[in-house]
Amino acid sequence: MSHIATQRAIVRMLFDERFAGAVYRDSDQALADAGVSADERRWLTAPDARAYRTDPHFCDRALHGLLSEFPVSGALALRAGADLRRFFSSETLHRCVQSGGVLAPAFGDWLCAQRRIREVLVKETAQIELALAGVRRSRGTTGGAQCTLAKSAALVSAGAGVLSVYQGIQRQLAAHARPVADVALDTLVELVLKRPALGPGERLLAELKHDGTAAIENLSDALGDLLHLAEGGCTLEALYECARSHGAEAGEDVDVVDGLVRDGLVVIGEQ
Amino acid sequence: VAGFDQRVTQLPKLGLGVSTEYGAADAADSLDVFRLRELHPQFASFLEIGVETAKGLDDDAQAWVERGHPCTYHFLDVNLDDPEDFDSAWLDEVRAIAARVQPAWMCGDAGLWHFGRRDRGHMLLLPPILSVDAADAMAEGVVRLREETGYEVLPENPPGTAYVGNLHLLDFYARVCSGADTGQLLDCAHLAIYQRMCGHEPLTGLDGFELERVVEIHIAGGTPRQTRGFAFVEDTHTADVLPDTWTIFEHVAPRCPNLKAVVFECERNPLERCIDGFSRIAAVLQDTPLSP
Repeated sequence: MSHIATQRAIVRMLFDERFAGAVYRDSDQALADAGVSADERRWLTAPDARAYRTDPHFCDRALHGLLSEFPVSGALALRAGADLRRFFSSETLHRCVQSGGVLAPAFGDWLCAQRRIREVLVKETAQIELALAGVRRSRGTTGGAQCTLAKSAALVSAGAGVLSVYQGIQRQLAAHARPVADVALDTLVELVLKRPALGPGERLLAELKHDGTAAIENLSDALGDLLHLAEGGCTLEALYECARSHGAEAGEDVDVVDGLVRDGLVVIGEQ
Repeated sequence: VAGFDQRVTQLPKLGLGVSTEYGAADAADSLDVFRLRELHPQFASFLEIGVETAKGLDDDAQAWVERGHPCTYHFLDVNLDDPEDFDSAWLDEVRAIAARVQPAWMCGDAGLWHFGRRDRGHMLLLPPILSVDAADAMAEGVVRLREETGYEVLPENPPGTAYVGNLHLLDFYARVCSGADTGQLLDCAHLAIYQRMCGHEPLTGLDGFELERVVEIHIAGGTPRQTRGFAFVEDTHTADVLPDTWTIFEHVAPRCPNLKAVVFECERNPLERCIDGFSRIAAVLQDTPLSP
């Protein structure tokens, strides 16, 4: 199946002109770990190099798509002077494409790792959007432990007030009669950033709703503890005990956990 | 299981039709397929519905289906040469949509519709790697989709600018058709683009391709462009069909004994701009199995 590795190498060449140049200069070196055969490496450089550059908007379209999932962190990063197109020449991008990975979480990881971006809220909000991107792609069932957090849910730790800032920026982006990714990319649109006051961190829940949308919300201490427990895998009894430790009476503990199961947040697996 | 030469006799003759994909009719000056069918029914005998399962059918496609008009299912989201692309969730969606539209068959560009897994932001369209291995893998994918859905699956030669591999595009698809024992959707505009990109004459390689395999033909306009001095043709689906495309169509169509359908892909053009193209196609079809 090395033709699939070759196709992925082509996609990397489309994203990254410098990489394409490296392939033309020395394909053995540029594609050393790509799983592309010697014949295929030769075929890749047979066309005129400009044949790979006929779509000048290839990266821009991809960035637009990514910012539909990372509108807040992307908007903040761009307004802090970041060049988000650098993602398309990053090691993260190349690794993701060549391994058949998913671009959106790779972009979120890359954004979180950018030390050049001085706006601290970029990383904080990217973590929220990364969790939302994850639950949007949740599939299948969880297994192993008796009780687990559903794949359609993810817990996020955030600094004090970050969710409020996130939602504030989200509202500003949505206030325009254009797709949020357009507004995020348009740095002429100013965003009012109310910096959060110092305080204890927050636990957030990213969840895929029944209508297919992904939402983020604050968790109470009790719910946060219960879902954190389930996140690592636990027994039903451990969840009951956790509920009781937060003041649930005998019988109420079962109701609380049943409610989490009914809401699709906790999955009960094999006994 | 019956061979292609027997199965193809069971496929309906659809005639000359048009194509659409999700939201195509929403654009200003796009083709109104219902008006076309009302004014020129011979040019809208059927609708080829482009389907990305994540989007489903738009209002026009649903309305066409509800009226019981003939259609075909043109997939926009499967890499036939990748066995990992046939996940059960996608197959369930394909079967559900096919059950609604009751297509005469399935068809679609047999290339790279998405990199990595099927995901928002991964969609594109690139030609396959033109190699023996990729052709054999694609043939297996055609058979798999045919068996999973119960419909004939016709691979189509996609457009592109960078063609990678050691086979001529027609030799590649000849191998796919033979390996899968299936028919071909020959896109004349895409073939003209390929021939020009490779410096071939429009009809190069057709002598080695079994035209008995051609069940459906596509015609569309293209736009010559340049980037950094590099000339190429973009597959823009305008109503202005390029001369090389006409050359291929006029050579091929009368030589395809199993031809069942021809699509003029002009979905984003006003009806009046498309009439000349339809008329010329219809004139060529007088000498084919699709002659009225």
